[in-house]
Amino acid sequence: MFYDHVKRIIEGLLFIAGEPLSAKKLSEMLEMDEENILLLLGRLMDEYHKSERGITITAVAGGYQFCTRPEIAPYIEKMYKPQVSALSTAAMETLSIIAFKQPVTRLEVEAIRGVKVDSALHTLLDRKLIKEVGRKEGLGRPILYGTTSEFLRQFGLKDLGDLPSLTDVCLTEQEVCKALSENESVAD
Amino acid sequence: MPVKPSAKSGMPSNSDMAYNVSLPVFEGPLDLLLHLIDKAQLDIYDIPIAMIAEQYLSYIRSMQHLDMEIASEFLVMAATLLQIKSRMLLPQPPKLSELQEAEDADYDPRQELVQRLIEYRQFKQAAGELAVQQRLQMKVFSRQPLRGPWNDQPLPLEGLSLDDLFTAFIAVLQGQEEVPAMIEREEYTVKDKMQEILRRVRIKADNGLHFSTLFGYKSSRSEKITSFLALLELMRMRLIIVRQTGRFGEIMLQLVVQQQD
Repeated sequence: MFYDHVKRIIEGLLFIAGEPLSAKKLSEMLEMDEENILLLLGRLMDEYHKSERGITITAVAGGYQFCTRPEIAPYIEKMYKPQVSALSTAAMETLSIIAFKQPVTRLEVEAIRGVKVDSALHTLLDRKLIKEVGRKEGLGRPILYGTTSEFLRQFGLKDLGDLPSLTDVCLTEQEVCKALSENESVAD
Repeated sequence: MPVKPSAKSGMPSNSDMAYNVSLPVFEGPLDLLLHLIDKAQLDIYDIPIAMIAEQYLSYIRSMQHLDMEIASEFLVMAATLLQIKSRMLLPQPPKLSELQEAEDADYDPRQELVQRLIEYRQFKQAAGELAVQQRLQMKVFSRQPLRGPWNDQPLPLEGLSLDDLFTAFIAVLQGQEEVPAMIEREEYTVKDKMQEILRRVRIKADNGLHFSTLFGYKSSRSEKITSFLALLELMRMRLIIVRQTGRFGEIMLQLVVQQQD
């Protein structure tokens, strides 16, 4: 009974929040430990999922949020004509480097991409996908960039640990050398 | 080659329209190299540098041929490839000891480039995955944060009281009662000055009028400007001719002799 009551409150708060609400914040507001909140959130999400409603609750950007099911998208687009366009390849590559390597300077990103990234950085800053997160100690104290919670939201990520894994996980120098020498011995 | 510049027959060769170009867009030299390696199905750890360098350079040449702007990064990479190629051609110095041999076995001029390519490829793939994820997420909509009295966003007028607003409003009202802006009357007109100059030149018809006498010491800035404009106008209308005898010499104004019909 009591739990049903709290569940309703959580539902109402999520409905009103309009931005991802963290379990921590919910537990503060409801004066209840996080564990129970997560339990109730889980149940609520389950209910929405099972009853196949037009809206669901998803875990995104470190919190929980009501959002619509993907199959409704065409109708929402009819109603609102969203203006969000996809990012260019250059901006996407720059964003992925920043996401994985953050905090990272412009020069470090350029070293990996092999080209200048000024305009891509501007686009990403404009779209609030990245932000300045500080300055690197050292010559010129260059600006360090990192991703924003808007980035997590737009890409449907719970947190940075939710990023797709990097394939051929960064090989160390030794491993590259080893691979190279193995190739040579095969050629011999 | 990814570049297919094909001149259409019968078209003038000097025309830009003569080229039908299909050129894949590369994000940079590393992107281009990866494309060449993938296309030839090469092992990234054992790149035949001579072959790849040749393909890379011919791509650059095609770009030049097409008058495309080549980013300097592409040229730097071309130089790097040639450097690696030449280093691989150089004979290895004779081994001095077993120890050094073990060290040298690890050395490959391509090593640094391979590492960069692998690192770039990782992020390129990750970018692809992220793009897919974003496209999926773009199909999912959520509410925007509500704007309302409970909004915890900082108010733009924070720290201001009603009194402050009232004072500011009064200041605006009082500001409006200021003296109207003054527009100075045009004291001199080009037309008047033209007549004056003509009159004075007629008087001095024999020797001509000294240019410097047009501008009296007492005349104001606007009078001087008006006089000068009037003079230019008279010259344009071919009523007056202006002569200067030598460098820094006095400029003389003379009446143009009207040919009476």
